[in-house]
Amino acid sequence: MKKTNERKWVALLLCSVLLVLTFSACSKKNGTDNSSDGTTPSVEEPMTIVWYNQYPPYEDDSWGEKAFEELFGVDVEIVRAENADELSTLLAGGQIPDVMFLSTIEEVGTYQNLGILASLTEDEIKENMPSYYEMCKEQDENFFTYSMIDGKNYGITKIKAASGIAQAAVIRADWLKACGFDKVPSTLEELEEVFTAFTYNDPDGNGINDTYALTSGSDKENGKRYFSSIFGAYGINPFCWTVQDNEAVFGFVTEECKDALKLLNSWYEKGLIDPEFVTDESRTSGTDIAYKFANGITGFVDGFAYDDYQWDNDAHVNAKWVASNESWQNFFASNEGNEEALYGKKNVTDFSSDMIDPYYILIDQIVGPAGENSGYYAGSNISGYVCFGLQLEEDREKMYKIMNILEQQSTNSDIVVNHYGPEGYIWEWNEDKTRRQWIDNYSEKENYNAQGQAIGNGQCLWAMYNANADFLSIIGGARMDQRYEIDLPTFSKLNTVTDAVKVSLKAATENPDLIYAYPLEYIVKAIRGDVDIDSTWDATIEKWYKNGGTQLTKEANEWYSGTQNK
Amino acid sequence: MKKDPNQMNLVQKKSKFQLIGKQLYHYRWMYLFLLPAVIWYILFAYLPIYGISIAFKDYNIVEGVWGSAWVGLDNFRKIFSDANFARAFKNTIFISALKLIFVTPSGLILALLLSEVKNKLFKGAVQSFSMLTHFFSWVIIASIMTVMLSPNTGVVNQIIVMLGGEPIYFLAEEKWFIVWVVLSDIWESAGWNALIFIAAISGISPELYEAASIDGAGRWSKLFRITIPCLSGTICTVLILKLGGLLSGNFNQIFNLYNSAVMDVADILDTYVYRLGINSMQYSYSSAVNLFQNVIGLLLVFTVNKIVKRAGQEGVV
Repeated sequence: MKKTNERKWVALLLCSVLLVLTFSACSKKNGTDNSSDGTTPSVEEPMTIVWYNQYPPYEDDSWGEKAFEELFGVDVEIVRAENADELSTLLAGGQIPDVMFLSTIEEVGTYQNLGILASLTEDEIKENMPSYYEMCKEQDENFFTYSMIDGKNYGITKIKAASGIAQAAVIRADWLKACGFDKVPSTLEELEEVFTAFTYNDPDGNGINDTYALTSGSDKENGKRYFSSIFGAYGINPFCWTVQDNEAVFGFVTEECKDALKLLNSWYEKGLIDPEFVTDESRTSGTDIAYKFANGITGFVDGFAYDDYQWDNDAHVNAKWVASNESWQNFFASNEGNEEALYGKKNVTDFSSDMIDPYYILIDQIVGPAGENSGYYAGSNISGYVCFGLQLEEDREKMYKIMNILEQQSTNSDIVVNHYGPEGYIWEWNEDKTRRQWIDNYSEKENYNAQGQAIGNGQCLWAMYNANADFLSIIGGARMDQRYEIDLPTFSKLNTVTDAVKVSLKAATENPDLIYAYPLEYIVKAIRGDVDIDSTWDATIEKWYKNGGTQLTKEANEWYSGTQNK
Repeated sequence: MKKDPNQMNLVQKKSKFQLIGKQLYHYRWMYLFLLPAVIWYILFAYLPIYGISIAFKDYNIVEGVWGSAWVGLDNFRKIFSDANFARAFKNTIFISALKLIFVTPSGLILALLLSEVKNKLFKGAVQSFSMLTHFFSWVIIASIMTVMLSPNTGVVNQIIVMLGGEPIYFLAEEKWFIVWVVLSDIWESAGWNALIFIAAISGISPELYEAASIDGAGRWSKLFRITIPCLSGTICTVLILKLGGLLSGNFNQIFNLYNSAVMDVADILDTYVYRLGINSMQYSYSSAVNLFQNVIGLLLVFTVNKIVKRAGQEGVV
């Protein structure tokens, strides 16, 4: 009898623990809500800002969060969403952050369509962010009109210093030599000749036919960079707007796109393109297209930025290149401590005896049917959009406070440097305290995280770090000189193909497949030869127009003609 | 003495009530154990049902579920005029039907095979290993498959080439893609699906087999005359439940495997809803698609249940 009673009590206890656990999870939120309502309002209570940006710190009360709160005298509550997908799930539940850093204009359009964004005027930006405003206006007179929808402005366009730079292509110098080429290819015809040799003349000399000329990543992240150097030789990008006869036309529906697809298809049929391009990924820490290039599976890669190719053993393409080539590992190991030598190699545009074998060469232009208008894809001067939650429509004080914070983040070097963490984390002062410099092997530190999520530095809280050209090499030294004094000017000279429409179009918000998934599906099938381009092209374009493309093009031209009349 | 019928009814009612009360009290600890599960269902399965209403509204986050404007059947009209919906609908049914034909029986076959194994250690090991795959995330399985099926470096194609064949790009060819969707699903879920059948087989009385042996029945006739007939109830239950999910394919599997080359056969309703609902935040529209899926699923469950009952088997409802 006693035993059964005991059992009952144990069971009861277990059940109550479960219940308490269930409810504690639900009630926690209510608890914090009550406290923030505050029955005893103190005068000094700091303003609370609910902040969303990519790559939030892993934990609350990180170094970065504390530094931020102290500097700006606010209480910041970071939204736990890693990306726009996670944010949209939160939004569906009705939680709207005070400030949202969005990366694409499509996102701004979607959020505006949902009615969750506060509007603001250009004058308000001018008043609350005077230096930032001046800086942007100097570079682009229309800069603050790009976040306008239906005549109202829904955010602050975030400028990117050193932007609009070609995302160029590089080619393996060792393979060119092995196949007997002494000139870097610069036309599509020359490229085809080289590509054929890369595929069939055993450029890596292992006696096995296991090489391809090129591939591209068919994932969404790759977006407009998809085979962009080849499309660029035709003067268009299939996912960008282009101007023809003074009218905006979507790149995918142009004749140039059709011709480029025919060429890519013929290359595919000849076996030059790695058939795995359909499932290849553009940028991961594993087997992505940079890995395939660095490991001698392909001999040509495009769609990366100048700082991805930088010879510093840290840039995306370069780190993979060094990891797979012993000669370069030796170079970096033997020069450790000697910054000038360590970061002394530049991106070359021709064969160079200054380089260590094997190396890659930057192709400065691939000339195609577009002639001198051939160019590489380049993003715009916008690095994102700062948008405010609808609740700030009424709470102007908070909106201005956030603007003020961003103004300081883009103009004050002592604040900008927080993006790189506290002194001693990844940087330190040089001996005479005149210049900040990188700490050796900082990336091997235990609490290092490339996105700053470990301690709360990085772009989440310090969002404006790349807005001001003055601060790009705030952590100075040879590596920054290599990037901004040598590589950047080399890449800035290259011809580019850019998107002619910079605003959000309503039709694209309502049917996002129209500007990406639908064109990509056809492009992949056309390259693979799953569909015959000549016999399906007209019907495909007609279908695109019918499914919303007509409306989209109309909206694009309304905006475009508006900018022309100015 | 005549009893007043009303009074008798009252007594019966009271006793019924008392009976329930008594039963509740008798099993009070059992009910207490059930309580957390009931609470979970109320919180996460029943309360959210009110959100279905956004399928008939133009959902606006700021206005909330109640405040958003009613739009009647507009979202459903939009669904049926969308070419991509039609494609996703067709693909979902096709993939689900294939899985129903090949994947569901795979669990049964595995269970039957295992029931014939005498060595307990071997049987346990096979059962554990085949079930283990169920706990792998599809993200991982898809990465493994992409590597294994690679036309350049994949082990499957290396074998094909070694045998003198041409490498096949399995994940980019429409017909092969479907084959691998089914095969990988079998690999992932056969062990798990077998579980319910193994339990049912172990419930069959050994006396039946002994009697059959005495009558001279071989393995095959025991299988077809004892095991399968005894399992028919379980098979029907599984069938009904699977048919209910006919319109919801395995999102995780397809999402991690599909690519632009195979969209024509691979884009299912779940991935379509994901792109619209999460990527483009068309909450109302995607809810409408989802509601449509669920209503069809429920109808299928009832229909099949009725058919099964007619055929003399026990249903689930």
